[in-house]
Amino acid sequence: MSYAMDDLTGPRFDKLRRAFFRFRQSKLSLLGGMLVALVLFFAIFGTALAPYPDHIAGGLDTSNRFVAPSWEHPFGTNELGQDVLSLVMAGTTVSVLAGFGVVLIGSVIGTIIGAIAGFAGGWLDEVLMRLTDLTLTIPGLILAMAIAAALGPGFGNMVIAISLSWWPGYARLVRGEVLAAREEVYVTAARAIGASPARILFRHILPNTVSPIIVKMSLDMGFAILTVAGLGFIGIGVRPPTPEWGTLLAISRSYMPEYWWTAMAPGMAMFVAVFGFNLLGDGLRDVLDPKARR
Amino acid sequence: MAALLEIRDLHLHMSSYEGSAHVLNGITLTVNRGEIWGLVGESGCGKSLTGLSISRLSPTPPAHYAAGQILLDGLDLLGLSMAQMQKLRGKRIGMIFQDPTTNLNPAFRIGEQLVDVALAAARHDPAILECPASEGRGVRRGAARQLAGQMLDRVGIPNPQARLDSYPHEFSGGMRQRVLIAMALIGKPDLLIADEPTTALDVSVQAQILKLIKANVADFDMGVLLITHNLGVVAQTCSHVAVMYAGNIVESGPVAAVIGQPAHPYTRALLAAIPTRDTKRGMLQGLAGTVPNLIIPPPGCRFATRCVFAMDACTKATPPLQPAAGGKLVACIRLAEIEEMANA
Amino acid sequence: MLLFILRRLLMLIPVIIGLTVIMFAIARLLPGDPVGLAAGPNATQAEIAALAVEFGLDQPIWVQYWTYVTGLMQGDLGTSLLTRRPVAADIAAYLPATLELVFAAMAFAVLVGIPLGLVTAVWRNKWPDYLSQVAAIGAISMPRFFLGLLLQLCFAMWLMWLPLGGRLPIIVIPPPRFTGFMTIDSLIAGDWDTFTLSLRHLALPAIAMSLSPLATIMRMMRASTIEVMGQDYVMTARALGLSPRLIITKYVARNAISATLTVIGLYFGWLLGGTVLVETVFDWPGLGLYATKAIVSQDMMPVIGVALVIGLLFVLANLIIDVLYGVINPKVRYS
Repeated sequence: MSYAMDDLTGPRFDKLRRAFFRFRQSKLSLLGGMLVALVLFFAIFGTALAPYPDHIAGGLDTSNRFVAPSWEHPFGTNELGQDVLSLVMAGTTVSVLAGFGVVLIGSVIGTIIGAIAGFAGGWLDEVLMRLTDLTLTIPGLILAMAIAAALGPGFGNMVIAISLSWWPGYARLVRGEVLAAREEVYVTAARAIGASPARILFRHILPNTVSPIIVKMSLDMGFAILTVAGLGFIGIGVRPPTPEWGTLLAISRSYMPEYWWTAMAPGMAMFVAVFGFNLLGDGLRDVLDPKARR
Repeated sequence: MAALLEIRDLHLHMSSYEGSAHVLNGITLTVNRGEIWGLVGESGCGKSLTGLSISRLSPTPPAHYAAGQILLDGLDLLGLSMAQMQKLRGKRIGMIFQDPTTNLNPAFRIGEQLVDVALAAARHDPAILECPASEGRGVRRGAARQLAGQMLDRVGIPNPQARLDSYPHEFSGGMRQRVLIAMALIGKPDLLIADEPTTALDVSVQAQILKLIKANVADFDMGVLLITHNLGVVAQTCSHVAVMYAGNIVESGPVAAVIGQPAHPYTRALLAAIPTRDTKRGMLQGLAGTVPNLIIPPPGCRFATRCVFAMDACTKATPPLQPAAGGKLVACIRLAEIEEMANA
Repeated sequence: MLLFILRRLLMLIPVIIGLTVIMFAIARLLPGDPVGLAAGPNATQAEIAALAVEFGLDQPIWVQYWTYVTGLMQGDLGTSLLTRRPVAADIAAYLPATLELVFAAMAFAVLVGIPLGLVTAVWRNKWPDYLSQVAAIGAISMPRFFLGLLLQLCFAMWLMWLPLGGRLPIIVIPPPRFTGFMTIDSLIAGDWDTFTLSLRHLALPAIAMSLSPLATIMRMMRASTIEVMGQDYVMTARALGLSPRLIITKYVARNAISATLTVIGLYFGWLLGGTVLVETVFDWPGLGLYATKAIVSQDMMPVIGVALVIGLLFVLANLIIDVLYGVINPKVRYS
């Protein structure tokens, strides 16, 4: 007896379709989705679409310093005469890329550690979990600062530093999922056929844990971007003239309150991006992880 | 003397996702002071809802009282506002629920919970505290605390004054139910509604609790409505009983008459289903069929679909409660014939 | 009760040891040039080599760790290149400012968040509730430093109602130092004017820091209140005639708060970490500003020291929360 491939994928497809239907129902999640799409659009095309690309590369226009918001410059110009809107658009790329990098690296590290801990059990599990708990004891931003201080300045170092403070959440999540999945029948069945532990882990268990990981990643994106911007605000990470929201905001501080527009655009961009990702993440969580429903 | 509690032809609809269920189909019941009425029936027959309706604890968006009256000493309860109902609860109507584990607030000492109920009651009847309303807060709290200790003693909790400062988790299940009874009685209510008070308890503790309830009826000159699915409890404790099926009362009256000489086919089947010493193995008698769907209830007598004696006429209209032998009320149009057939 | 506290204290020890291990790993084991960084950008090769010996980098790892830990127990956290003082002394000087800010922010978040959560739960599913939910997500998404900047702009620069930054106006002499908290110290000294001034300076940074925890506390409180309101014992309270106001403000509130308390503990750590950004905006002389200035100058030891101290504070704070939870929820004391 053979089953057509459509039969086998049928229920899963159905689940996805129903999930997206539920997602569409929530106005807030849709708003989040649109905002995120907007942010991602600018992240990819921002640098290309910016009205004043030479400003992004570091060009100055000292005759146009501190122009208030107008038609030519919707967000005004900064102390170097650069168009703030262009800088913010280009900054989207940097901030979002950095945030994404942090979440990606953090989730990979965390997943590996959590999977090993959950699957191996015993003393390895204990040790890894103690490590996870300890890393969580130090507030993320401070830990990232400490690691960044030890690694030295630079964009790459900053991303690594933040990622190293980001992985514990994923480790805990994946460990929990693996622990639960370990008891499932399909694992016993796979073992009975003689599959090696690695194969069981990667081929069978991990694919089923993808959904909560994705939910957490989307929920984390907002805060990752905030952390990147935070470190940029302090002065760690990117070097000028690379535009980054936090750095732009830090520079604008000196020119308050007269030239307030230099702070508005980067700040609002930050807020919109994080707000969008949070709404989206909330919506995804409600839809993909019904256990977490309020 | 006017009846303490009179429920007249109460109709209750509950709206749900699937539709509107006609859960109470003309309940008529009278409870006098000094009487312990058992309200008996299988799960889902509406007995708990009847109890909740008296205190208006069923929230009215999904619940809707289509017709009927509930009179407490002549006072129409269905016409009162929520604020007015709150004045009656705990003071004239006391309630005990089923699960003693979840019905006491775990974060507060029982003394505090008792005192708050007493103070609430005293606001409408200062005599409870034996302390005039003009006295200061501290004095009133002290009097309430005294009263709480006395109530704990009355329900049989050893070392009552000290135990006022205990938390609920420091008591056993039976003790907690006693505390809940104390809380229900502290306001000196006229009517006590007990919704399956012993279902969650051990059999040995059950007997104690029932005896406790019975003992307090005379002291407080109360009427009691004891809701249960256990006929044994009814036989042990109650003076009167009303048998419910699918939202109707099918038979009611003095307990000896109903249980000793059941008239309604449902009551007969219920009593026949109880195994006795003489019941042989494999001879358990059940009732064929299932409880009807209350969203689309069957026409006429709701028991007709399962009734051995059913006729066409039974499906025409809901049979009214008619007087029968032994001071009972029975809702069956074929009563006389069934008597004959049964005795033949 | 005492046993409970003692047991919790004992559990702290392995955590503290673990913290020191992590900090040591960061300080010594990460790729990067710790000695070069510690020596500063202007050091010569000879100075760096001497410093390497002084750090004991030629010793095996566990000896290095042992020296580190013994140094820690004596209060030696290294020396700051910027201030040229022992890091421990710097931290002791700046810690109270950070604590004052964190406590103020926490107090504000709790005092406003819990009642808001209670209210939105009781009046749920009407439009104010819906609005507050969206506002809550907005509050959590708002970057603290941008919010601080906006508050400065609005209240300090445009409206001029509140000061721009710092703990006290420059011209005012701070009260004699007992706790290091401007508010408490000025009260102890009986100096009412300084007390009000210190509160005014505390206001904006505390609000900037508190908005996000406030929103989360409100949401948690709302969720646990709704859950408590559905419990059997609330039905019993209603059935026995207690007034709705009493039920909600006394009974439901206490049950719901105990669930929210655990979140408060977590947020304490988040607040401790977040002081960095807010202190920078408001020129608040606390640990955050200290660490920020250090890191920008590539001065490593202060940053590591601050991280360790804050980690310790977080652990301590969680212990206190645990104990408080035991007070409110008596069943926990026996675990």
